[in-house]
Amino acid sequence: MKHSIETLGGIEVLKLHGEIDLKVSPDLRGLLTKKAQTPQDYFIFDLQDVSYIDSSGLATFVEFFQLTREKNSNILMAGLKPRVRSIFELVRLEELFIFCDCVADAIEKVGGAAGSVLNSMDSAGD
Amino acid sequence: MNAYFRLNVEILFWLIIGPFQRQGPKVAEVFRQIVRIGVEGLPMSAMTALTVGLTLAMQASRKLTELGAGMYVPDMVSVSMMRELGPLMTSIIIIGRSGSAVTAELGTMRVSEEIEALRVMAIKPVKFLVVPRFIAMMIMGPLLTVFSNYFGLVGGWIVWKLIQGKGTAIYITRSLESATAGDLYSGLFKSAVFAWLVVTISCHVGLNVKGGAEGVGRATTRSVVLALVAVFISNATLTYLFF
Amino acid sequence: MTLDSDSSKSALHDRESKDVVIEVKDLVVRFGDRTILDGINFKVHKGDTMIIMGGSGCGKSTLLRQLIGSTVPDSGEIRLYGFDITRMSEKELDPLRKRFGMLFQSGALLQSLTIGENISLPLLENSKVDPAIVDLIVKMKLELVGLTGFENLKPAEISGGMKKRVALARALALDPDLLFSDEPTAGLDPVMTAVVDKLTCDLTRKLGMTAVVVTHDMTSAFRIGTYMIMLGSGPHQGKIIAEGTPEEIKKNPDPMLRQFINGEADGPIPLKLSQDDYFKHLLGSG
Ligand SMILES: Nc1ncnc2c1ncn2[C@@H]1O[C@H](COP(=O)(O)OP(=O)(O)O)[C@@H](O)[C@H]1O
Ligand SMILES: [Mg+2]
Repeated sequence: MKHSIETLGGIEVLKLHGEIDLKVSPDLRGLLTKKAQTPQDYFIFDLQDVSYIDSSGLATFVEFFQLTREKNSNILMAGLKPRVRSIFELVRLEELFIFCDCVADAIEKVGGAAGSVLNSMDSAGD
Repeated sequence: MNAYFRLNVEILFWLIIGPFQRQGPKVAEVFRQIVRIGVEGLPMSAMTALTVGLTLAMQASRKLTELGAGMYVPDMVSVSMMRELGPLMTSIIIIGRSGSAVTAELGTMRVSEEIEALRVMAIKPVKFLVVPRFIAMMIMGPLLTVFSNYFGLVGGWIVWKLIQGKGTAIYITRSLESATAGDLYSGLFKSAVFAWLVVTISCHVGLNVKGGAEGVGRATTRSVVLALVAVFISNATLTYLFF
Repeated sequence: MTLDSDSSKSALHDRESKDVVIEVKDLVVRFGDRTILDGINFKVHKGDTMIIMGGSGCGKSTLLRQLIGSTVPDSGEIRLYGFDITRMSEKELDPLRKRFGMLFQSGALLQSLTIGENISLPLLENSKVDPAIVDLIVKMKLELVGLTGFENLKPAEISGGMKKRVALARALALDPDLLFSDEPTAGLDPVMTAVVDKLTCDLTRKLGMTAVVVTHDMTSAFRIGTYMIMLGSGPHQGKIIAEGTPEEIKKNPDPMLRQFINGEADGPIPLKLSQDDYFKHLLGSG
């Protein structure tokens, strides 16, 4: 499972890559179970490089939601491709996770200072 | 016949190669079958063996006493139960109770497209359906035979003690002394062969049912008849070989 | 909704240029001396929903059975993802089988297992996913077909229409990229029909799954289909008598097709056609 952890303005973002299917979802599960052990107010996943996610991937995220529910953690999914987003929506998971257009939005949503900085950088770049 | 041999080969394949490919049989399913084939069949085979032991002892004590050999009743009961009647009676019970059920069950699955659905899901019917039943039968056939031997001896003892009023201790020593380990093992070997024949025949016939509910009925009858014939012929053959 | 119609239009637009998922060439199937399929040719492209129509007993289920490699045809060629499945052994077929799902006309659920176990079966047998994850997948699949909470019932305890939907959930368990459905909406009420149709549309239009659907339900066929073929019966047994996109089929003047689509008792199909035979049969030929 290809992934990287970036820290933007003091906020940790887990970036996933490629296809999340039966082959890699067990790895993702291991990663997420470990993450769930250190409670956080929010978890941000950057899915912009994820081209496909199958049911086992979805179920892995649902399990992560279950594990972090007690702590009332918010789970933010950023930058989903339309197809990947449809897969989430087909089983109504938009009600469990917060979808954001991009990582900057997600960071802004959780109130990180970096969010607005990144956003302004984005607009400056345009 | 060809298909029947292929089934046997395929069972052995999954049994031996399967576990190495992490495709071993599911323990829970094997246990379920063990309960259905073995544990639930115990009362029936126990009762059969008990009555066989009773009749055997009664018949034997009359003739043997006439010959002045009344003391040999326990020997007679234990040797004939272990070598012959235990395995044979048990496998007949198994054919009637479990073999027919296996054929009917697999046959129904066949006509309702369940087997085809399994194959389309890339699940091997032999691995998924036949192997657990095979393992259960190979364990429970000989085990039920041991129980039958025991109940046969109990039947003989009832006649010995309660009807003829002779001593329990001597019944036990005589019946244990006369029967050798070889008698027990040859009986158990027979029962394993019978179990193999019964389960492969009933699975084979079940998996190849054609033509709806009526086909299932006909197949069940056919499987019972075939299994009985196979058991009787192999019994005669094995007895010839062992003596 | 806008996304829906947009992508369906584009699906029609570039159907020739897209990857061919299924290709059937000169398929012939006989049972005894009856020829059920007689020289069938068609292609199914990626993302398409191919509708197979035709009267009862005309060979639709038989055709699906051929496509999934369940039985071998008398002649002809069937290519799935480019592989000729008519020449493949069971063992070679298995990797392909994990890529498609099949909803049988009868549902073909395993009676001895619960609904949940039926759906988890392909996952537990064909993957190494943890049972806890499988459990969640089962719940999500049941939600897809509107049966949340039914996982502990046995197939014998639910209605025919529910069995169909469970079978659909099972067919979708491994997230196939090709789905075969044999009359998925038979026995469903109009609302559930719409739910199943929407599911098929979502899976094909949004996720790019390919579907081959046998159906008698014309509303449903026009709702989900991107290409349609109609198999003939009687004197046209085993032939494709009409094919085209839904628009082309709607405009096709073929009287048999019109009769079938409009659901009229009287017309060129069966009954009337065989009346002479009927009296011959009824009164005896002597
Ligand atoms: N296994 C079989 N043996 C003999 N005839 C069959 C068999 N399966 C189907 N048929 C015949 O093939 C024809 C087509 O059946 P089928 O494909 O089930 O029709 P439908 O279009 O209603 O799905 C029917 O006339 C049926 O009698
Ligand atoms: Mg049919």
